[in-house]
Amino acid sequence: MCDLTQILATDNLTKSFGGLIAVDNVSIQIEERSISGLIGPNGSGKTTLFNVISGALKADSGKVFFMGKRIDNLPCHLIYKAGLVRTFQVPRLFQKMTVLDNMLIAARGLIGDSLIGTLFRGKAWKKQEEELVKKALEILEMLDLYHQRKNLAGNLSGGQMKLLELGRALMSDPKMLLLDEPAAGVSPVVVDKIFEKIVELRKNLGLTFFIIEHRIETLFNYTDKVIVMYKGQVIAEGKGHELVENPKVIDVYLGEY
Amino acid sequence: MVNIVNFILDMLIYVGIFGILSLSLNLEYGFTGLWNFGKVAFYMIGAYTSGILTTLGYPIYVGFAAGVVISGLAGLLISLPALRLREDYLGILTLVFGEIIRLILKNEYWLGGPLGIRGIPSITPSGIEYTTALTIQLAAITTIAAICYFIANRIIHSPYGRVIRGIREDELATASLGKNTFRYKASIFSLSSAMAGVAGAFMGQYVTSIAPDQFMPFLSFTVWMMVMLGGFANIEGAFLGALIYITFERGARIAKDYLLLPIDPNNLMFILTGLLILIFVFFRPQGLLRENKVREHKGV
Amino acid sequence: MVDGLSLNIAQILFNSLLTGSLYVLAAIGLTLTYGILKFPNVAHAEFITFGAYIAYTFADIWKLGFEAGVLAAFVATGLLGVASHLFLFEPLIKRGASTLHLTVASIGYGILLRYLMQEIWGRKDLYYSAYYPAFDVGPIRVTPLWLSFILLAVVIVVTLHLLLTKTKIGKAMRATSNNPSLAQASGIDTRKVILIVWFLGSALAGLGGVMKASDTRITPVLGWGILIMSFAAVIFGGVGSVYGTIFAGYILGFVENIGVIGLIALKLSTEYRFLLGFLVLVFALIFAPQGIAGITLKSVRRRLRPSG
Repeated sequence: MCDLTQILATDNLTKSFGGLIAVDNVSIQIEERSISGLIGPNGSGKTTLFNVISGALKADSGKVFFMGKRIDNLPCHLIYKAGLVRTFQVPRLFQKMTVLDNMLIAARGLIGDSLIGTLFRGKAWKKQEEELVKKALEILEMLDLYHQRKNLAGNLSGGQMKLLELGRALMSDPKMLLLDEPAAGVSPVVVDKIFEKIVELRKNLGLTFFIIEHRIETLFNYTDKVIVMYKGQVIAEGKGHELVENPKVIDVYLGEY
Repeated sequence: MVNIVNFILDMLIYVGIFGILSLSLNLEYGFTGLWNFGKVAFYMIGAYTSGILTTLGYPIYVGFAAGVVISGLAGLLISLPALRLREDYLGILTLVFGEIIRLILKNEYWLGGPLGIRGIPSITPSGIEYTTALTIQLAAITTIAAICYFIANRIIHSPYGRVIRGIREDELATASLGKNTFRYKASIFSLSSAMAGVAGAFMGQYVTSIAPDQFMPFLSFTVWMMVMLGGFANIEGAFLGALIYITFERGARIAKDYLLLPIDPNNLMFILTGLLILIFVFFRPQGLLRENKVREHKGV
Repeated sequence: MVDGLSLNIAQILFNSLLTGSLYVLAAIGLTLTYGILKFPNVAHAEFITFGAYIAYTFADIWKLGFEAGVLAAFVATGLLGVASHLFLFEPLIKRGASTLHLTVASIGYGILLRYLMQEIWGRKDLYYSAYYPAFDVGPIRVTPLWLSFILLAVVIVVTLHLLLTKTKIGKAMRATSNNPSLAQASGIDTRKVILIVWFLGSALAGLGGVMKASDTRITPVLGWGILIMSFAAVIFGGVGSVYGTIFAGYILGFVENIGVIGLIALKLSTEYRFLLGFLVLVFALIFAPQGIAGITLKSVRRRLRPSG
């Protein structure tokens, strides 16, 4: 069941907490270089699905494939290293570190990451740091955060924090990004800015995006396809304009919007 | 005159020893957020390893090396079960670990028993004038302390240091950035334990006899006090805290001989120590010195 | 069978009851404050010691009799606990002190208390003058003192049970211990509950101190000798759970006393009986952090699997 153009696929993924089934036999496929959306009312299991895929939680049953390999049994830091990175709904930035440090800590595979490397290969990691700083500054520039680089992350505005989350995710050269409400709580102008950046990144870097969003119009404008979840199950899937006609989707959202 | 010089030399040697212990705790708690209330365990392991080996005839550098390695390994072993625990449980576990080691050393006569190990060879040959011997010892501990300082300094300004500070602030976020947080915690814990071990090995040859009851939990608490006094997450602060505390302690000892007080000066010293801790917790909980600022990157 | 050793099961059980009662008395206060205020109070050791010294003062300095000493220990240590909260922990919590700061404060406070006591009563070992000759009840050697302490412990356990289940204040205590913010939100005066908890818990610790000291001797480090076992009872029984602590305390008492037999048989030092308790604590910390109630085969297996 593993198409070579699929970068991510789940197979009957289930996760429950006590008696509550948060993710119920979910099987989805995401095409490479696509921008897909994930919508559903509160409590439909979207964030839990992201948690299970990214390894923050362990599934009760089912499989997850990333670039053809099974990842559901891996710890989250290995999934990250494989190139699948997720951001959080409430940005989990290091508020007491600078914006630049927040970027630098996200890089992987550094010589200076290990104790031995730090102590004995000083010249090597110092050089690596310089290159890393250059890369981080470029990404910050691209996200209009360059002027904030020395500021503590805790001092940024909500929108800037969201952009920093995105920038951090890019530091590790990921192949696919799971974005959990990347534009939550920001003004409409910034929302468009963020999504335009996402489109740019797909075009320039060949990244795949899977995005949880509540703003349906935004999603429909920027995505190739949208998956709809309700009470842990996938109830519909397709292009934005198809879904608005879908009776199941309308049912679920009656009273919500 | 000579007595004062010797007094000060001896005091500075202890500042060196405890400065290293405080530095190691600062790396664990100040920078990584690990609650280690069992520092005395690794100090003890280092002292005993080196003490036993050297009294059996091995050269001192072998004793020291073994002390460092064995206490580092002990740290690594303990981290396997311990570092997954939540912080206060880790604190209790490390505290108990120290008591377990002490209980074993006290009851196993082949490890010295309650009287401990005597006649540990020192780095200074016997028969030298006392002041000269003290100066050599001070030079030695200063060298060791300097090495530990440089190690700590390098760690703080490195990517590794960034990660442990990340763990301190938010372990889950750090893990979700692809870092195996357990590996980081275990490595810093082992390194710190090894540092405590070398301090112990040095102390053993300095006082030439060690016994289990010198290694009570109170010693771990003393190191915590020094770290708090000097400032959390400040490596210079570790030595400052040691200096303050030891000066205070020695000062009280002198006062006993020169002042007539209604209170037993020994008790007074500890009472004041307790009060000092409480004052700091109330009014200066982060300690005297602020956290070390990380070096700015070039061209930023 | 073990040669040269006759297994007096009845005596072992009796001794376990005695040791267990000691640990229960010492640990109840600790588990309650740990559960509600969320930090391990290291100064609790000194409360235990304090009780022993107060009893000595009333019984042997002022010569008012041992019973008066016991009562005084209960009341005085209870008041000490209340004062500790009012003047130290409550102000710190109000200033936003972290769990670590509270723990470090309790360490400093413990040092302060211990050396104040040492200043007042001196460093030498002290003994209660009350003497109760041992006699035999069947195969068991007992003294009236031991019997009274066990009886006292049983009475306290029963009273606690009735308090917690039948009285309004007891139910408030359980609610606060379970979920302090929820308890407060539902109208319970959590401050009053907390002060009562400090009084009761510390008073019991003081009794524990008298009990231990009457069996051995009064020294400034009396409490420290029991503290780690108290933590073992607290964590093994589940932090915050009075019933868990009671159960765990008696288990530890049993383990210690049966362990002595095993150690003698293995020709190891009997000092290692404390090691058994320490190992129970270590086991509890790693495999049963929720206490006995939380141990299931699944949770033990989960911890043995490599990290994921």
